[in-house]
Amino acid sequence: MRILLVEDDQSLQRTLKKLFITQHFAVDVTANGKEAIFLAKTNDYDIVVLDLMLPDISGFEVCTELRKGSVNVPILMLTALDEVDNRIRGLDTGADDYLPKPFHAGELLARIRALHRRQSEDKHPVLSAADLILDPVSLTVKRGGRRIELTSKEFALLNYLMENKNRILTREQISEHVWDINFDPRSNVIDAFIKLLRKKIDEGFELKLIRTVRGAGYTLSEGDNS
Amino acid sequence: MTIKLRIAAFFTIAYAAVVLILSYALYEINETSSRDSFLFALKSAAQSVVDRLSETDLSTPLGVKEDLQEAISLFENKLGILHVTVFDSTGREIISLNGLKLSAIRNSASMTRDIIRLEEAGRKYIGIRREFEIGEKPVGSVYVFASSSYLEESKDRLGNILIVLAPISIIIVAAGSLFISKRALKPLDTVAAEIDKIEVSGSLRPIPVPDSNDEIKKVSESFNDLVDKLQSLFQLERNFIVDASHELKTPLTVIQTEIEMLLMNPNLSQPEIDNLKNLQLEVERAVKIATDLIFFSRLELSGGFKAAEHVDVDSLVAEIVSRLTNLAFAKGVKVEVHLSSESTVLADRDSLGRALSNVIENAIKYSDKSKPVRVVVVKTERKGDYALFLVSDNGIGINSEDLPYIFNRFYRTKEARSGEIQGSGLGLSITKKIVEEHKGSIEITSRPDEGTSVLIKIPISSHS
Repeated sequence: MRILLVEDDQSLQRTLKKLFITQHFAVDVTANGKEAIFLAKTNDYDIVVLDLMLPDISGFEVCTELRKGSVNVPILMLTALDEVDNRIRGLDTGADDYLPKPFHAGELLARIRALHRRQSEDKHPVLSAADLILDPVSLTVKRGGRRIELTSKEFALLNYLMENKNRILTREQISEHVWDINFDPRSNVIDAFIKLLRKKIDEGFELKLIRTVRGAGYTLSEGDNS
Repeated sequence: MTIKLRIAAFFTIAYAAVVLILSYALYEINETSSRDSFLFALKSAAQSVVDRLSETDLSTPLGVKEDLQEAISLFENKLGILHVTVFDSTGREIISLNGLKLSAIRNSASMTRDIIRLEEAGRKYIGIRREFEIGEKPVGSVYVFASSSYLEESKDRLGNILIVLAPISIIIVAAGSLFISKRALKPLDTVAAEIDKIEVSGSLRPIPVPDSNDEIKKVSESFNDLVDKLQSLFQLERNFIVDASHELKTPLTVIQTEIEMLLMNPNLSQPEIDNLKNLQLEVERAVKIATDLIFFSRLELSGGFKAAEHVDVDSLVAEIVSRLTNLAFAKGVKVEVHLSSESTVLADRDSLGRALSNVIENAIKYSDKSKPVRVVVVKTERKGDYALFLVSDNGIGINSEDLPYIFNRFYRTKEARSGEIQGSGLGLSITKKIVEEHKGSIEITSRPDEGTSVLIKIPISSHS
C-alpha cells in the first residue's frame, strides 16, 4: 500500500512515516498543500492522509481540488480541530474519514486499512489465496499453516498482489503501489523481489501462486497452473 | 466613611467654623461698642457734674446735692444709679451721692487713673475720675461710678442668643447637607446596584446608561468601556488557552504514536512494557487536560449554549450509565439505577450529559478498594419544579478540608494526586459550570472512608 502523508509538523510527519513503514507501507511525504495536490494527481496512491492546517492552503482546499480533478483516492483527514462543524465540512468537501488529534496509532492504522478495504471487492480483513494467508493487522503470512517470515518490501509486494488476486499487474502498477516516489522505474528491482518472494511462498508447494505474464507483468492466482 | 457622610461633614464643619468666627466677632464688636457708649455716657455724666460744681459756691454746700442729682438723673435713665463722690484738693470728701465707700481705696494707685474698676460688696463698678478747677486752679476731683451690670447684661444677652442659635443652625445645616448629598449621590447608588448585579450573576456585561447627560452617565459609560476591555481581555485569554491546548495536541500525538510503536515490538520485557504503559497513561492524562481545557474555555467563551432542546432526564442518565458500565466493571463497582424523575429539562444534551457523566465517573473511579462491596447509586427524582439527580457511593470520600475547593480548576485531593486515578482536575469545574449554565445547582456532601453524595438540581422545562 502506498500512502501520501500531508503533514506540516515535522516531528509528527517523521513519526507517522515511521509508523507507516512498520506496516510496510510505501510513504511519500509533503508539508505543503499545493505539492500534495501535484503528487496526488501524478501518482496512484492508495490513501492520502491529510492534515487540515497547512502552511499554504488548507486541507479543505486540497480535498476540494483533488475531487474536482477527479482524483478518487480515499482521503483521511487529520486535525487538531475537533468541532463537529469541522468534521462535517471535512467529510462534505470529499474526505472519506476524519480523525481528530490526538489519536491512537492503532486507530489510525485500522482506519487506513478500513478505507483501503472499502476500495476492494473483498471486505474480509484477512487476505487469502488458496492456502496462503496474509493478515495486514498482525503483519503475518502463513502458507499451509506454516508461518513465513518476510521482509518489509516482500510483505508489501505480496500484500499488493493478494489484494489484486487473479489480476495481471504491470511493473508500473507494482512500483506505484509498493514503492515510494524515490523508486527508479528503469531498475529491475521488482523482478528481483518477485524472485525472492517466489522462493519463500511457492518453493516446496505444488501450487505456484505467483506467475509471470510474459510482456505484461505478474499476477497472483489461485487457479490451476496452465 | 461614605462620600455622602464626608460631604455632609465637610459642609457642617465649614459652616460651624464660619458661624463661630462670626459669632465671636459679633460678640467682640458688640462688647467694644457698648463699653464705649457706656464710658461715653459715664464721661458725659462726670462732665455735667464738673460743670455744675464749677458754677457752685462750694463753701455753702447746701442745695448742691440736689443740683448734682438733677444733673445726673438724665444719665441714670441709661446707666442706672450713679454713685458720685467729690473730694476737695486736700482729699477730703465733701459731697457724696449714693456714695460708695471709697475711703479705703482713695489713696491707692488705681484711684489716680481716669477709668477705675472696683468691686464693692460683690458688685462690679466702673468709674470715671475728673478733676475740676475754678479758674485755672485745680480744686478737687469728682468720681462718678456706675454698676457695670448693665454692660454685663447686654453681653450676656447676646452670648445667650448665640449659644442657642449657633448649635441649632449647625444641626440644621448638618441635616440639610446630608439630605442634599444623599440626593445628589442617589444615582451613584443605582449604578453601584447595577454593578453588584454583575458580581452576583458572575457574567461580565454592560450596565444601563442613564439618559441624563451628567457625571453619572459618564461613570456608567466609563464602566461599560472597562467591561468591554475586560471582556476582550478575557476572550483573548480563553482563546489563548484554546490555541495553546490545540498546539499541544500535535506533540502529544507524536509521543503517543511513538509509544505505541515501541509497544509493537514483541521482544519487550514486562518491566519495559509496564514503563511504556505508564507513559501512555500520562500522555492520555495530558490529552484529557488539553481537551478539557478547550471544552472549559469554549464554555466560558460562548457564555451559553447554542442548541437547547428538551431532554428527557431519565433516558439521558440511562444512556450515560450504560456508557460507563465498562469502567464500573473494571473497577468492580456495582452501579444501581433508580430513575423516577419523569421530567424533561431544557438543556444542551451533550453538555448536560458530560456534566452528569463526570459525577458518575468520579463515583466509580474513587471507589474504596478495601471494601468488599462497592456500590454507586444513581437516582433521579422530581421535586417541585426541579429534576434531581443524585449520585451516592461508598467510596473513599473527601476530606472536609478538601471539600470547599473541589470545584476549583486543577484542584485534586491528595488521594486523586497519588497517581492511580486518572483525571485532568477539570471535571468538577466543568460539571459545575454546565450545571450553572442550565440554571441549576450542585451540592456535594462527603465523609472520608464512608462515601460521597452529589446532588444536582436542574429546573424542569415541562413534565411528561
